[in-house]
Amino acid sequence: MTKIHFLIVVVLLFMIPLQAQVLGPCGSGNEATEPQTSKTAAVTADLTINPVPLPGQQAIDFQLAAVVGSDIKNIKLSDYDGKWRIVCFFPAAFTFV
Amino acid sequence: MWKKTSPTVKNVEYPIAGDPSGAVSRAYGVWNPATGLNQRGRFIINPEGKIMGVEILTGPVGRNVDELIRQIKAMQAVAKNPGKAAPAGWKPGEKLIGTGKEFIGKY
Repeated sequence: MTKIHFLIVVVLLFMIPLQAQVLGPCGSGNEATEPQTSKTAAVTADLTINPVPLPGQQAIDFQLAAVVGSDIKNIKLSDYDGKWRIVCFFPAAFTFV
Repeated sequence: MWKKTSPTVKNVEYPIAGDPSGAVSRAYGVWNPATGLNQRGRFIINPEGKIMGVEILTGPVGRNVDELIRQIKAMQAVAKNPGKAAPAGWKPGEKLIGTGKEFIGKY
């Protein structure tokens, strides 16, 4: 394959079932390690589900705790401004798909 | 934990984030409240933060990374060549086409 001219930044997001939080990659599940979502993301308090954003719309910025290499860091979508980004959501870990 | 135990996930170089509150999943409209799981959604976002492509697949069907790369390369090629378009099935390295009226029926 020819040289890849872009940097792929993939953020995989998944819902961690409540009982699995202790074992999940986000650590102990206590308040201090709870990732904070930025104000531009959906309001946590109400459970409104936004319509799926369509091409042409501005992507909603967010901040989440993520495994980057071997560290856990808070990352924002806007940290990668100026690069092509891919945000992938997946239903669950260990699904073989 | 997952990165330590899975030999394939260990090699992952992109950030993997958890969304325990589900706020981001809801903001992107991919959360299914009936199952409590996300749909297999994928968004391509350009350097200016604009959504360029959206794909949401049913749970049991996997994605195609080659197709994803093809789409991004086409988007990058078009971004570099304003007024041009990548026709159906365009592959990296192929010619872009013109989009004016005068090009109708030429391809």
